[in-house]
Amino acid sequence: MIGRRMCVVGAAVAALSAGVLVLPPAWGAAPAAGGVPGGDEPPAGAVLRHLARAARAAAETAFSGEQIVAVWTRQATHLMRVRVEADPPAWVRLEFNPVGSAEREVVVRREHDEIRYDPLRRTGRRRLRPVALEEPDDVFLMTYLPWLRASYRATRTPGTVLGRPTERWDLRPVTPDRPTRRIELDATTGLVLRSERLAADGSSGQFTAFLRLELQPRGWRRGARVPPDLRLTEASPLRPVSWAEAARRLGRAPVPVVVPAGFHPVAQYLVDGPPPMLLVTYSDGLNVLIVHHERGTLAAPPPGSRFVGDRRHGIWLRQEGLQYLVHWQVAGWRLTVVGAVEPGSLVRAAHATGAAPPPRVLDVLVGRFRAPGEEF
Amino acid sequence: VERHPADLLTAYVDDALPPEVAVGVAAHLAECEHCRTVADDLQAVRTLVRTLPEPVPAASLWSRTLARLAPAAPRPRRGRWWLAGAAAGAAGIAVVLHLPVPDLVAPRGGGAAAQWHLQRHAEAALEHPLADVTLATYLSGDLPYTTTVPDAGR
Repeated sequence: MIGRRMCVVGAAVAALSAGVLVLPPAWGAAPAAGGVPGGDEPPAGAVLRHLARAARAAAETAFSGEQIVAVWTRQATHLMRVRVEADPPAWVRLEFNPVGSAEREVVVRREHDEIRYDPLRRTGRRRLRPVALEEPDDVFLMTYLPWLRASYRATRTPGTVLGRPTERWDLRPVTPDRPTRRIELDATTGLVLRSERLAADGSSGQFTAFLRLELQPRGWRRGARVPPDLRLTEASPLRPVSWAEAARRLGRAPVPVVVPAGFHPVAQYLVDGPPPMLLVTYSDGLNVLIVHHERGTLAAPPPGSRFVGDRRHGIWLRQEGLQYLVHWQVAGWRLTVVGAVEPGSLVRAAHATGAAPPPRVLDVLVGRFRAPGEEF
Repeated sequence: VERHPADLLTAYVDDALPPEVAVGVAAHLAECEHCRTVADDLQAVRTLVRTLPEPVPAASLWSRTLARLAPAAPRPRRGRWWLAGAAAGAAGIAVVLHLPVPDLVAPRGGGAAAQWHLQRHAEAALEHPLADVTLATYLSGDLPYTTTVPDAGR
């Protein structure tokens, strides 16, 4: 499986880059997530220093270039080239060109908003980005890095991407229920030149790599504007809320949810209704988990979910590539957890939170009587 | 698509919602004929129940109950079969109604519901300082392009 995926990536990279980028042999024969031949385990201080540098580089480095993105799900492979213009924080423009399709999408991320549009139809939408309460550097150093250090083990291997010396970091989870993240950092700038997420069985789930990279002076896209003739709609923003406000808006305090080991709450957002809903985000320093709280009495999972509970616990699971959605209901709340965490851990978390029994025939009939044709 | 606040309507009719939620439901009802009809039905049932007379037991109920508890001669069983059948049928229906149906729950909103959750996850991932911005931006979009590469699936 790994070999097949690497072949696809290798073929796509080779085809797209026309020889610009050559995969090193070690990459093509990637070992399972646990093994990193030749990698050393540097002191914790070095790991943190390099990762902090990578975070800073992502927030500050100006460049233009082209990337390949590959995502595997059970049904399909998503493969595309992306042209990138980065002059953060004011301007990051991504032009998505899927392989084998005429569809295009352009995304412009600015400091306070994000605009997505179809460059041919000239239509799209704008949404405000969540407000950052602290400087990204501070957040990473003070919050994420300590969690990351506790939840992951790092090994380092020297490498080369696009002729540039790199350090490849394999960040392996202490709890083997979440993906290994493999990032290859440019030795000069700290930019991530390649990134991959490997499932617990070592198979690749997501992959990105630069096919071309040109560093630019900061401010090189100063004054850049989105096309003035776009017809944009406003998307509902995610609004950060306190627990007290969330409880007031939702009519009662959200039920406390148990999450897998190593995850810590990061923020909570209100999603406009009616009725309003609550999103709580968690992180283990690297991986992100969200819990979606919605008032309701009848658990109704997304299509494609399979039942993984029992007579006393109604729990449903759906897989989408590396991500899993686990859905259940307790104490008048419908809960959905989404994250790249093995289903066993997510289902155990649902049991620990408490899960109502699966609905009875009577509940389904009553539910259909009360809301025939209900659409979400 | 606007959601129908179906699970709030009973509480709304009973005036049991917090004011700010009730305002939202009222605003929805003003525009949604379907929900207004359901709310009207609930209100009508509520009114009807309140107008029913409170049943008062007959004065002879206690003495008749005591009399039935006393040993009695066996009574002819003819004519009771239909009653037993009806009771068995009712019990059967009650059992069926209480059977769990984990596989028959109506799915919500087609594939869009799952995608909505995944998009929110990608948006949250985008806020991480080490986020793979290109990948997370793609996953948070409306339409992940499906380009099937032969022999490349899981």
